[in-house]
Amino acid sequence: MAERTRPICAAACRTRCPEPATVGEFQDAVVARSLQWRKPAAPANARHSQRGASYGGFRHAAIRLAVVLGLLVLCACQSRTELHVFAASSLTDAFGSLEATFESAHPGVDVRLNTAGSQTLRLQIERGAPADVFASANPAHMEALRSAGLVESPAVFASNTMVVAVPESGMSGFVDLPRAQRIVLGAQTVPAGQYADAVIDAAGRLRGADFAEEIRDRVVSREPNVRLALAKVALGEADAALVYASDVRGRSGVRAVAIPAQLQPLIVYPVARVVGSPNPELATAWIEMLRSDVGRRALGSAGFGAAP
Amino acid sequence: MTGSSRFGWVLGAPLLALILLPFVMLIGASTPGELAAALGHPTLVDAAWLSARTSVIALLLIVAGGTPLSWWLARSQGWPVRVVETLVALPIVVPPAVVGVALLEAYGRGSGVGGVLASLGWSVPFTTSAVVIAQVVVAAPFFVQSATAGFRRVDSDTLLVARTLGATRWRAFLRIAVPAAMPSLLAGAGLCWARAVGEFGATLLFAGSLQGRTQTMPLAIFTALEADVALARSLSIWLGGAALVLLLAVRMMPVLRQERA
Repeated sequence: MAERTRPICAAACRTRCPEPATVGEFQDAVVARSLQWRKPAAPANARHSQRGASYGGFRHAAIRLAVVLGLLVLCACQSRTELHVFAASSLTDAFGSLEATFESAHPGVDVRLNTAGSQTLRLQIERGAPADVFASANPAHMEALRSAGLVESPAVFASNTMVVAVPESGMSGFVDLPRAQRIVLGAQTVPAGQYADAVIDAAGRLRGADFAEEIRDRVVSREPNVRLALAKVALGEADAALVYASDVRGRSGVRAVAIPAQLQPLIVYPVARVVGSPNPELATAWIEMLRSDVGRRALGSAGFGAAP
Repeated sequence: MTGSSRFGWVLGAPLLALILLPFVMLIGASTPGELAAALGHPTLVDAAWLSARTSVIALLLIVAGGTPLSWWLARSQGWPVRVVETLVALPIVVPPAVVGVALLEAYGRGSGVGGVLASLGWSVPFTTSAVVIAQVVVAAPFFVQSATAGFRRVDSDTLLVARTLGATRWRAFLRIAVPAAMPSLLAGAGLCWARAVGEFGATLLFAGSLQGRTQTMPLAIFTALEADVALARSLSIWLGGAALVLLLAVRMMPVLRQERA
């Protein structure tokens, strides 16, 4: 038995494989071998009574199965290092394309993206979720984790701007916003909602309090998630939503109307290594990639701006 | 506990623990100070009042329409009735978010019904009416199912006797059928009210979330979760506590206690 398992071990340790095999290929090899074992075992069992033989056969099969499964689990753990990246929902598309780039540059690494609202991610990290990297849409949540000693010092890797998302046939300029019948914003509790309030306040200072007042009168909903605000426009139920430029990029049926630069709040995305990450070098590599040309290109094509 | 039922307790205990543990931990996670602070929070006051108003209106609409519908479903034969009975249960099995999208398709701007209503000056989405409609659609099946089961158990002979003694159909229904099915009607109403209060997904899509107009308790909790977890937790405890009181009140009703005895 010990001698027979040796080639499997060898395959598991990959000393004979010049190229790293995938888990799937390895599984095929293991299954093929476990089937081959059946033949030499048969003559030994033939001397027993039929009941004994079938029982022994079952027992041996069970042991073999356990060994094979154990090896598979070991192999699966050894061959794929997982890098857990916790990212704000607005980063979903950009990080999704960077995931493939990173995995091809780091063979054997499996990037696991966990995207949610920055507040939710913060809560998960506070509760001990296994994170290596945290990318937040809001510096406040990052700062809270840092003062709690849960993340290392953050670096800004991208910026964003606010736009008015409108249907294809909607308004053409920001000045038309008060003429929209139904306006949807993010809730006051989410960053997108706070930035929307900042834009409207700034517009009120620039164009007069009436302009801001008219906009606020047309607000029919403050959504707990910026993508839901955008969905209301995409569904044709709202005429305008104040969302991030990156949210509208690549969406059909929705158009972005620019908001003048003097009304724009400063929107920056910080990223940091999580304290106690089991893969600190990989976490650093991910953060460096975000700030490299490759990262900037991916973030740029997803609608993000460079770090200020 | 008899010997023959003990295995049920032993095997069921893990499920019981799984159901109750989160609620027990939730209560333990909030301090009395946080609970008191949430009680005075403007979000809670507005959301609780809106939830109370909309869910009571929804409940009244459901009972008014659901009682005759259930009577028809319970006392009629034939496959069309069975098809209707199945269709009425649809909102139970469909995710509430789907109900929300469907409601937008039905009453939204692009739709025929929505267009007609809008031309009459009644634009439904993002209004308190939209909250009530979402609650009615999602909660009504719970009442109809329970009421239909209750009406099925009403003895036909008793109804016949009432008719032979000169009672009109309407009077026989009100004086014989409704009292006989009362435990099921009340249980269904309680369950459906609780479901209306807890309605989240369809409301968020169809009615949006605006404090004082469409932001009900579940939406307020979800919104608070983005900024203040302690507040969200305290709001959850208040809502959970209110639901528990409601549940107990329904179970303690004299009619239902007689039924169990």
